Amino acid sequence: MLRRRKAYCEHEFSGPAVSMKTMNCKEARNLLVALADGELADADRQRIEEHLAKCPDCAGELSALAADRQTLRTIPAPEVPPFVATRVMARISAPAPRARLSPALAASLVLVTAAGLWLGTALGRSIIPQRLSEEAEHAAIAALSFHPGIPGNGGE
Amino acid sequence: MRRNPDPDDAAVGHARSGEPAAFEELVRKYQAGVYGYLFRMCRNTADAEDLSQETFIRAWQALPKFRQESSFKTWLFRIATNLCLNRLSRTKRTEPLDETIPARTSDEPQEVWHRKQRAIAVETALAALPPDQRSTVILSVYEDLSYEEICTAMGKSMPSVTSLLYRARNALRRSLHAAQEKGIL
Repeated sequence: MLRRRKAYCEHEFSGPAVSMKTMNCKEARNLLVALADGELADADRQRIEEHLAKCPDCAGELSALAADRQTLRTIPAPEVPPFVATRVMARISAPAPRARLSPALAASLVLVTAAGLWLGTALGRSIIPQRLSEEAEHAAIAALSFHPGIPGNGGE
Repeated sequence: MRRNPDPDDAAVGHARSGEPAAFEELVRKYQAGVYGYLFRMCRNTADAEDLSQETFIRAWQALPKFRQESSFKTWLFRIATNLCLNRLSRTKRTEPLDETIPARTSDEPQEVWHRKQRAIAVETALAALPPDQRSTVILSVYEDLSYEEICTAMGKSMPSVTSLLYRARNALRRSLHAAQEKGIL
């Protein structure tokens, strides 16, 4: 598998400043992990390899780090529980939850509906035998309009 | 910042257009990696499963805002890492890790038992790392993220990530060396 790795720049590393002189063990040790992981820029890699050619301790440390990586990778991957994808897609596809009415708003709507039904019945009866007086009609409508629980009527 | 072509670009494009089937393709592709990462971080099945689902849900919701400056995989692991580190910072572990290596049963082949010992030794060494160090190791070793990708996934600078990896790998070196001395590794 081709791995796209961009080696990081020498000056971005937080370890001691790596000079262009021969690398010492302390400088080399700071870079061994990145070298073992294939993440060193060419310039750093060349210098550390020159050091490793002359330092068996650091070379041994590099071998140990590379072996550690292999040891870590021999541990089997955890088994994925079944239905993870199914559950995710079910949640994505579920309809958005409906907005819940507050108890006060629900009660107001019931009251308005009841009043509306009463008014409709009253007006209906009054049209056939007689009509409500205009004043009474306006008063009934005004009473509904200024109910404190109805949003937008300044009662909140 | 332009990045290399991402093999998931086509599926991501379809998913962003509102095609759930395209997103499901991405979920199935990455569920093992995401779950494995979260399990190794959280050390329990319930949290790993819960956070895995949450990772993909958040990714679906945030898709319109995904600018594709990194690969989809890296971006997905960024979501998983944020969720996981937040959960770990809120959760106090009350039970100590069980480091006991089970005794070999009479009908258990030597190699199988030895593999169990190695697995426990490695998992114990990983679990002993602080979460941010553990995260860098898991992303590097098991998920094959480059250092640059780990920086994106963790929201950290290159010097921070290299420092975390340096400390983590050296701590693991000491733990694994101790296991080698005992003949486990």
